[in-house]
Amino acid sequence: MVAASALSSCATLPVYKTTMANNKVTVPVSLFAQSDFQVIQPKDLFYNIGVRKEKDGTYTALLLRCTHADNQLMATGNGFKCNLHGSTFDKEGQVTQGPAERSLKKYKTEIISDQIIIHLS
Amino acid sequence: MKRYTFTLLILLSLFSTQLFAQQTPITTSEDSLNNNLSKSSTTIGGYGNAFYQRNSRTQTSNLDLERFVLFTGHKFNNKISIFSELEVEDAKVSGGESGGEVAVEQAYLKFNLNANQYIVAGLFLPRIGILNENHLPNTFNGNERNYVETFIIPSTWRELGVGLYGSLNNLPINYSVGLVNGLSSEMFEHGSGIREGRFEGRNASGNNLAVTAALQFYEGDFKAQVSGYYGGTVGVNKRKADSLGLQSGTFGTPVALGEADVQYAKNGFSVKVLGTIVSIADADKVNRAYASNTPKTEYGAYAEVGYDLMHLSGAKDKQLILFVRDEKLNMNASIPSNGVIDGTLDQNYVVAGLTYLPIRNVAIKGDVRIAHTGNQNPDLIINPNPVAQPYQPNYNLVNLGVAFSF
Repeated sequence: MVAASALSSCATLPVYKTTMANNKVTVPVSLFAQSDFQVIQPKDLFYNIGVRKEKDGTYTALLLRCTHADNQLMATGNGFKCNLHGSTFDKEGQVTQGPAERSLKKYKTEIISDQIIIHLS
Repeated sequence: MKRYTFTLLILLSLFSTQLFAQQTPITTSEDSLNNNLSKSSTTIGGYGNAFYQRNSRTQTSNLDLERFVLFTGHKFNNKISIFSELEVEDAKVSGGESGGEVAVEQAYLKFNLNANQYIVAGLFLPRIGILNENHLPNTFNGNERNYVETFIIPSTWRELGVGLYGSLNNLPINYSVGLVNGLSSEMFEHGSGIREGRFEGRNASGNNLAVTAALQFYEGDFKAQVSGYYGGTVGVNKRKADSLGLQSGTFGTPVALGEADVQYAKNGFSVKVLGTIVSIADADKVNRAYASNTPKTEYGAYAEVGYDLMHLSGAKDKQLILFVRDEKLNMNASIPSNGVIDGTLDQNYVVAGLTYLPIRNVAIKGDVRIAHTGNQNPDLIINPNPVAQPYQPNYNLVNLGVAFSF
């Protein structure tokens, strides 16, 4: 699965394309060698996942889906924005402008053999 | 007694089962979060605003529930959704009386192509300017929408058509392109630019079309956008258009609009600058056909700075924004040879005030709009003084109101 993944990135908006299997997404830890934040694009999910490396070495995975009306979020320079009604979120997933009222959905992650496993359930 | 109690419980159980079986599984936006990646869900939301306005020119005061809008959305599955907004303006629409409006502001299907791209089809708001796409009243300063994006860019500008929205993976750029029905030059009214030429989803002509496009660039706390519109304004058939001296066809007698804006926000400080220009190259032909004194060029620009006075207090959800905005617009910047210049359409406004948000979705606003316009053209005066009060180019509006969205 990882081998099938393709990495496309740039300094401002790294995106890692991958696939889902058994409601899990796997990404290599090495992606975070240069940056503490990575956008993951699982095939057929229709929403990106933002993964942030925390200071304690753990990883936080955010579903980039607006909590107001389920629209996809577009990455901005300092967070995420929903073009449908204008809600914005910071990189921690906290609402910075409504109408959304709830933070972005967080997924549980774990590290196994230098791979970050994101549990989508 | 026990038997009666048991029978009652059975009946209540059956009744409640029937009752809940008939309920549509509507969820609030809050509940939709808990649906995780469920394939279908229904969300409801809305926005509205009401305000008091004191007009120094007319020496009158007015109170109005300007807008109350309900939006509903339904996700059929992860690929297809529908979104809609139903708007009531001025609280009441009554038969035989002028004023008020009930309108479908948006109603479109959304087809997700992937996580970065989607297509919309139906009645939607093209990405032109800032306000057209983001018009919730608790997200802008001042009780009234800015006039540049009301009269030059006629927000909220919705038309029927299809649009493609997306973002690039390798660059911080979002884009959109759209194909929608065009405007009607027959409906243009002197003093409101192209605003009255919109069909807004009602019996739009399909002979003339329009294309729109926008590019957004994000970097850190900075955002820039350019957007444009180009479309025909003659929906009548060729025979009738020829008799009126107008060019028919898809892009006949065109309107072209260009817009650019930049926004910056950091540490409680925010800046917004927007400029736009509209060109109606065949305005002389429109005037000859409909005698509407249509301008050849109109433009508008505004700059706004704001600072959240509560930013340093550490209040997470509360904001108290002190702002000032300078708006300049001219709805007859140039006129064709058969037009009559109207100085009152050359307008400048300075709007200053406070926006208090006790929570992000609720705003309490107070502002003053100081207005200055050019002088009235004597050739356009229908009722001279003392039949009518002389025109006052300088006046102000004091606005106090509330706004919300959910």
